[in-house]
Amino acid sequence: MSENGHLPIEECETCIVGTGAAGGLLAHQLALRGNAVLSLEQGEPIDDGYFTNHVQFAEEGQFGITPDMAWPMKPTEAFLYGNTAAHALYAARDAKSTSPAADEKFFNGQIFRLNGKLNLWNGVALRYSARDFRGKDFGDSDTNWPIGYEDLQQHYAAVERLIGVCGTREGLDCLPDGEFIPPLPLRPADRIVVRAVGKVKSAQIRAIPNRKAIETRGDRPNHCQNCGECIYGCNSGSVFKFSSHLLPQIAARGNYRIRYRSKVVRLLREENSSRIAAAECLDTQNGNRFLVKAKTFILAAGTLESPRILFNSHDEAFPDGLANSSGALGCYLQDKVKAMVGSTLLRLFGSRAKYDLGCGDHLLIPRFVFDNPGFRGGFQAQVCHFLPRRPYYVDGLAPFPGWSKKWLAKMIFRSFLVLMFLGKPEVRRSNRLLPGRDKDLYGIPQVDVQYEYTESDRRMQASMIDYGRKIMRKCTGFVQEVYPERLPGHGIHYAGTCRMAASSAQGVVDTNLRSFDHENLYICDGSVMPDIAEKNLTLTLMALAHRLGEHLSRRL
Amino acid sequence: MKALVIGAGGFLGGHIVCELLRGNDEIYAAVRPGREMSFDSDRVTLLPGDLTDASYVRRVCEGKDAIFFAAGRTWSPGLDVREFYRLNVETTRTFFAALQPQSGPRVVYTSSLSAIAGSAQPFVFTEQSGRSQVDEARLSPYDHAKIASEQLAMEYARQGGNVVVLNPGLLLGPGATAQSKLAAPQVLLWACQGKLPFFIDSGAGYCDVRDVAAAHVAAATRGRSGERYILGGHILPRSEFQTLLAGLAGVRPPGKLPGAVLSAVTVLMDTLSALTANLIKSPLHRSFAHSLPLHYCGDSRKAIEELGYATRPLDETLVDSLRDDRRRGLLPESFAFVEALTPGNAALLVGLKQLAQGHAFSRFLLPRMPQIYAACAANHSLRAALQRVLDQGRFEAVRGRFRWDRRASRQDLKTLGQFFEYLYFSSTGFLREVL
Repeated sequence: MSENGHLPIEECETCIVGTGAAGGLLAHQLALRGNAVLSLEQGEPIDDGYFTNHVQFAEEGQFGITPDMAWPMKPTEAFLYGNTAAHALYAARDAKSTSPAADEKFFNGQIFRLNGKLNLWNGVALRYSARDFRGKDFGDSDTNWPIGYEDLQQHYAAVERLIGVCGTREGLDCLPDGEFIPPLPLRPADRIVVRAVGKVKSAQIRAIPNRKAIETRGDRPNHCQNCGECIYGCNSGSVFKFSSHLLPQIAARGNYRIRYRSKVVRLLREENSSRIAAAECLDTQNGNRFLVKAKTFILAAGTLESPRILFNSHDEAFPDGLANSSGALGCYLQDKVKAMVGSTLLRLFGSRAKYDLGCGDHLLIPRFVFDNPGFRGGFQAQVCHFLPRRPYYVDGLAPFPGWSKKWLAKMIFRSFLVLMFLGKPEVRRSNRLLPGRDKDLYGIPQVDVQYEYTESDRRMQASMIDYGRKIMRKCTGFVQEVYPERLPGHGIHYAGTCRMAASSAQGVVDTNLRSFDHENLYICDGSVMPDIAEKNLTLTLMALAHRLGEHLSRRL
Repeated sequence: MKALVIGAGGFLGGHIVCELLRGNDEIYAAVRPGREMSFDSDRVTLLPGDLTDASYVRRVCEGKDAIFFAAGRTWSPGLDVREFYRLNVETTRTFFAALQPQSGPRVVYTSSLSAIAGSAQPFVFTEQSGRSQVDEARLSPYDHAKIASEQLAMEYARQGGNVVVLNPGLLLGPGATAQSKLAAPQVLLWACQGKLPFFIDSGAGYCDVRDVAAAHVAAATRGRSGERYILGGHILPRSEFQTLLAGLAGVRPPGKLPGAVLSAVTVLMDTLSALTANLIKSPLHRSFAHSLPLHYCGDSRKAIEELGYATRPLDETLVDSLRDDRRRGLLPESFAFVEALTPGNAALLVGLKQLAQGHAFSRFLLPRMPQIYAACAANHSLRAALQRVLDQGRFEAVRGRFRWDRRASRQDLKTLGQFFEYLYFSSTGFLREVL
């Protein structure tokens, strides 16, 4: 602390590091309750106008082909290159939290910008079921969450009301219903899938309207413009984002401040106490350092960045990093098991109906329930029927002669369907982040990654493809392309590195997301989730943030 | 300095004006009436008129400090060979008659390597070489006209006139307008358009017109009066020139024809032309055909030493010529790629173009080659794939194309094929059709 005595100091009651799904929601909640909040965002501001109508690929420079785009392009990577504007958001190699060597083991798609990864959020907002919190009891995992569905239920509802989630009440055990606005209409391809899924006998599955945080009500000014997949960035403000939905409500308040281009380098402990005294920050614009002093610190920088800050904050009393007396910091890194199956539906061959791009995936097949001894946990599928950044149908056209391709492509253009499977990974302590030797462009140490799929993960992937093929055949999709994702990290649902636990020996934060080691340090991002389910995790993350917000408001 | 360029509407004359524009001279341009100029500057005073009109020539030459004489008539089918000779020599005679040898300005007279060179066997001429290498009857009317004109210039020097004679080889480079109809750029264009039916292998000196123009401007101040200077350019056989062009532009070189066969054919054509009272015009007069197998090569050492004549690499000249031809719409859509062509990227670009040409969507791809190449070259994996395909294949100069090693390059060829399909299927045109 003493060697930093000369740095300029900013003071506030609560300092929130990060403006993503959790950080943004917390800032909103605490600021509305009158708390003096300072949000630290390491990137630049951004607004919806950053994105353009993303159907016009050819209008982009170099046909939207960036220097680092891999060819032949893999479909999962194609998602990342949605459009040049979207792609430019991903952190460059030398800015990431993870070291260059980690790239070979784990795909890291970080976004350092206001909203964080919410900028390219697809909007899928699913509640975890009671079973998902009790993985050990149900045999899906080795751990139960220290909290249960009943602890989060009211917060799920509050968040759903706040962000607006479209969907239908289905009464499913594996996917609790929420408070919904009307769903997106089903398109011809979607209806084919609904019927086909009903014919799959070997698993109990149904295709239901997808639940997404998209404004579907036509009378709202920011309603969905049907311009395709949301992961390319939404320019109409239809997908929930901190910058367009919450920030305007608090930006003008005297008790709320947000500092851009302010990267937290490390946290500093008070002398002779375990309390956090300040956050040492770097102004990335001018390279100057400054301190932020606060009563309460909330780390919401992301599953990879939050542990990195803690590792880099090590001192004599916490040689392995702050909040790491358990040694669990950085461990239990998780990402979804992923596979995709694509095909063209014969039923839609030559269809002349106007192509409704919608928002891409209007259907969801919730958790496949069946007796499967091969792997633990479950998986779900999103049904994507949209104009892909990379024309997938090119793959299926390979065996056809050149002169027929143009005609064929036209005929099958409206018939292309992708089933994107996401599955619960097997959680292992050895899949982890470690303090690394490499440094980023600011000279801040990066973290290394160790991650390996388990046998169970691989068998789950095989099962996904198996079921994908079955469903596709029932949908009259006979020429199938299969894309199993071999490199972990492409799920982009990172979690687990600051796990929430019942006791200080097992994890980094307690059930209130407070660090076991430091009484005024809270962590709230994907990293606190001890055990992710197959479901998209953003809504749960927001519910956790809402719960923490309530907890802090009561206390402060 | 007041500088006059005679023949400023022509290929070389235009470039001399451009070169002069880089300095501070007062520039006058004598041009044929109604000609389009390759330069556009209010610093140039245009003086249109007819060079056979002695009073006009006297008027334009008056009060100038330096005069560049770069005017000449080119032969076109239908023009009588004797008339061609007379026009060329007469304009020169009229020009020198208009000047006072004792008090006249510095004249830089553009002659030609033809006035010195011409040999049946490969031989590099110097300014001192004699005319013993070949029978005079084999020389073309152009050579004879240049020899006679140059003698007029030398005669003027003997009378005390201040004149430097320059003898450039074949001129290539940007800016050869259709009006100037100079032989070498036209032949290059035909070769690209696939209209050149054959070529006759002999050595020649290929010059960049901009280098030659710079030497002209230098000669206004640096050359010795009464001397001639060879601007020989790059000496190489036509077959090698064709190979170079094949590599740069992916053009299939035409077949080689023995000189004797050509002579026989042109005799027939001329006879036919005479019998039909010039209704059928012979594209090549026999007296030109006789000279085609001759070697025209000269040593530029003297010009390099005294005028500072510099020659840029020939591939650079060729690339600039092609780009200029394309810019003026003389080359078809399949040559759109030359807009991005540089000597350094020729192999990659020609290879990519050939792949695109063989692709089902070639009609979409070829006009967009410069942009497609830029996207491909900027992307690490696409560029590497293309490079591997080129490395594994080999370039066949006689066919003007690569032969791919389809087995070794299978994956990369597939990748590049997908790249082309990606471009087509994500194009605005296709999306508009289907959406």
